[in-house]
Amino acid sequence: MGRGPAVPGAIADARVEAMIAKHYSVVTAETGAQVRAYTTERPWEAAPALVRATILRQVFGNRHLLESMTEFWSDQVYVAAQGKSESYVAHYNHTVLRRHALGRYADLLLAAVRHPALLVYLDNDANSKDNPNENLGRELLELHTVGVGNYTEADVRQSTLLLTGHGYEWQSLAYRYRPWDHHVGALRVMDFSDANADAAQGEALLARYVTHLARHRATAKRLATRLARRFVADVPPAALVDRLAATYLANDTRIAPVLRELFASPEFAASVGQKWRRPQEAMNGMLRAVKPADLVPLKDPRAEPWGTMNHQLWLLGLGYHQPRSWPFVDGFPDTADAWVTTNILRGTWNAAEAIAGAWNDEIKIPPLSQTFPLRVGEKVADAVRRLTLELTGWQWAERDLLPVGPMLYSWGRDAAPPRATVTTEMNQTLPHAIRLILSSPYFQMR
Amino acid sequence: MHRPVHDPRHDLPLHDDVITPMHHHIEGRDFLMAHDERGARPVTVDAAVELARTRRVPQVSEVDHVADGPRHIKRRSVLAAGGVGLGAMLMPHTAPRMSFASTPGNRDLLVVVFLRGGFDGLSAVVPVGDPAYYAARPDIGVRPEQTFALNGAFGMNKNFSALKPLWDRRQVAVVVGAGNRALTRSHFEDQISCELAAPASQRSGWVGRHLATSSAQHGTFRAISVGGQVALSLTTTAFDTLAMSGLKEFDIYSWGALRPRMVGSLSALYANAGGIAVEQSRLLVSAINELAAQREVAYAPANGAAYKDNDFARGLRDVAQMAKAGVGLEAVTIDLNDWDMHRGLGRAEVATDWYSRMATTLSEGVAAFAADLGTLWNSTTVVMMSEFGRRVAQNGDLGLDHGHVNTLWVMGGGINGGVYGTQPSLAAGNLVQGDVPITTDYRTVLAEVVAKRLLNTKTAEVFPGWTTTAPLGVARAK
Repeated sequence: MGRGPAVPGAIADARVEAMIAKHYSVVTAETGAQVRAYTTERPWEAAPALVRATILRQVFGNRHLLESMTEFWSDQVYVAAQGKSESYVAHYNHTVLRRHALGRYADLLLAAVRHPALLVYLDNDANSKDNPNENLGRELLELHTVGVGNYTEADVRQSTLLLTGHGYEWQSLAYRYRPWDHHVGALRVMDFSDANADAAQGEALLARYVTHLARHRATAKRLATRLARRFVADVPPAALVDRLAATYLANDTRIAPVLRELFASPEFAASVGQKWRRPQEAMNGMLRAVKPADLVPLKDPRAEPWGTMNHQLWLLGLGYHQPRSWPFVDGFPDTADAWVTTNILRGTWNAAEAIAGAWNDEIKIPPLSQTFPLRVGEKVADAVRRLTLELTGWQWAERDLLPVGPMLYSWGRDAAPPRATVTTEMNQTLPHAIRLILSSPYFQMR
Repeated sequence: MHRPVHDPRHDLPLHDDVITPMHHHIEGRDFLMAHDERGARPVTVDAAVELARTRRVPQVSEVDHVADGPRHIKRRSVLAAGGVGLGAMLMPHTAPRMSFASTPGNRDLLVVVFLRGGFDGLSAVVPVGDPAYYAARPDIGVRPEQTFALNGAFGMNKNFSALKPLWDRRQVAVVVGAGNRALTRSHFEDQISCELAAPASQRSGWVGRHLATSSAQHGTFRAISVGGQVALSLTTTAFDTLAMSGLKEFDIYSWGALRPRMVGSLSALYANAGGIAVEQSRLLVSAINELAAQREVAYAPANGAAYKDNDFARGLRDVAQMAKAGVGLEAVTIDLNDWDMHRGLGRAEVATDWYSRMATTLSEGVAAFAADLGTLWNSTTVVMMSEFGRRVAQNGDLGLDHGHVNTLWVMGGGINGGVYGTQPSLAAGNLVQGDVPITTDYRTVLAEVVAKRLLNTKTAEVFPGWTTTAPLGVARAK
């Protein structure tokens, strides 16, 4: 730990970034104006581009920590891809979540509440002193910072008034503060209070408020719990959570020191196999595992981003885990009970069939017999041991290796005699063995 | 190996002259064969959709949904060819004997419709005689002329008029002022709270506890959640429940002689996996195996029931098919989301406004379900609930912020229709933090259903920590 490059930019990732630049470069737009220009005034097309670029980065990218943390924040400060914020979600992802993914949470959160994506998603663009709208005022406390149990209904209403006037401008798709919509007068939210005497100072007040919330002990605890749940266990060890929360507070909401503490912890070292992969990670991981060659879109992604990559998206839909498709404002759940269900297991097993069978017309998978060559004359048991280790990273228990061999030698025959050694025709049956391996519980473990 | 099947079920949006749905003789695998200048060849779904699109065939309405994402395309074109969904395999006349009696213990089939997001009861069961309601909602209050009368004090938003025939048959009970005193107004905390209907330390929901306490027997199809996840209300530590979507889709991709080996190998690996994966995989495989023989049957709803083309209606149609097939279904949860109307709730007279659309989807779905069930409706109870209601006063964005008390619905052949509960005038002095005060604990209503329609006397176990109160009389004893 700690010996890799200090910044994600130091990890070579030219391949996937070139793919994104070629097909979905709108997702690296810095401003709403750039989104408008790129999409020729159809900014909502940035959302389907983001969904697809997210998959590409998971399949072809090398900056795993950055992608993991971007995904983590996308659930923590969630904005759905479809619906109200589809025109803003791509540059929200780029300029807020990705940019601050390993930075300070106070900065990330302030950037989020000053971004049209979150402001529109939670109706704060309609929150004014005459017509307060509580959506963001509540969720900022419940979801983004301290969590339920730390504030009262009165706090929600004060939080809402504090946020009045913070909206956006539709022409530029940019944040805009409107002092004339801002409530003036003393405010108190939990242990935060402010005279709030001058509407012209509303932006500075927002910064003070958000920074206060980000630095709150309850926020530290909540974030520490969620990080430990993401990277260690569904029920995170309490001692680890306390250490992470303390590190977060001691470092003024900086994430990198918290992650260093996390990844250096004995709890993390002991966590291998303790987490069930969510379907995005599992299914995109399957595609990654078979070493796809490139994306050759069926449509021009710049003109019709929604017409591309739909096969892999369909598989993710079988897992109810297409990027940013959770229908509620709290982001995807992160515990196995939400994902290990009959319906989602079915989707996982079927995704493995589709990927091992190379059903995808756009993301070409080289013949598996080239990528995972069988050695004629090798013992089947040895070939299976090698394949399972290479594809899952686990040394399988001997009893679990037993069903894999017959996938290589008995397909299509009612009672094929066991074969001890690899023959050339097993190159044809190799996909069945790989489907079983990708479907296996070993592959689903973090 | 593959043989074209000329079957009216395959009324594909993909057009038989371009794409022929193929049948596999083993497991009813719908495969697609493309016919074009390159000759006949099997194609993936994506290629098939692409071919059908580029052929400019006239009937493109289904394929146009490409812009909405791939799920519709897939479901419509391959997995549910001809629009066959969950339960298509379960036509009574072909159903083999399942492990369970069709009406175990003579208990009603319970269908819990959870309206996630915070359903506004006051826009449904409208206090038409209360001037304070219209004062609080000058723009979005539902005018009396936009309702049909329930009694002197309340009218039903006419966007629910699909339910009027059931109301007229006195099979719709609405309980006003019903709620959960433990509310926090957080969507998530409150969904958990009212789905568990128990102290948070409990690891089970109220429907799950009913199932666990009413019978030790549990079968594959005793309880299902329509969707990806099992609804919290259905969870129980006693056994695992099935999450599923369209039954035609509910299959494991593997064919021919390989299939039993592949499924058997997966079963073996998961049996060793530990944790919840063991039971979920076992349940998945047994459900798929038990349904295998019946996958070819096209389902036609009975009694002219007209299910609309949306996920909620499709889900209810699937449930009706399962119920008729007699697989031992006792409890179902199904969600209808998107009620979190902080802004732009809309006006009742505009059918395309947000609330009007949702009300239409909800009521048409339930009405079709009731009609389709026929005599089974007499032994079916539908409960509709939400995590909380919304604030009495509109918020100025023509929307409503999170509130507290709500309207609880109970419908079915064994229900005494009517308006139950009490609700004072919505004048400010009567409100609690801007909300209607709770006059009926929601568990009073659920417990009555559990006792009278589900024939479970252990209501203290189903609703731990709740003190029994006199039932309102919404349900008839069996």
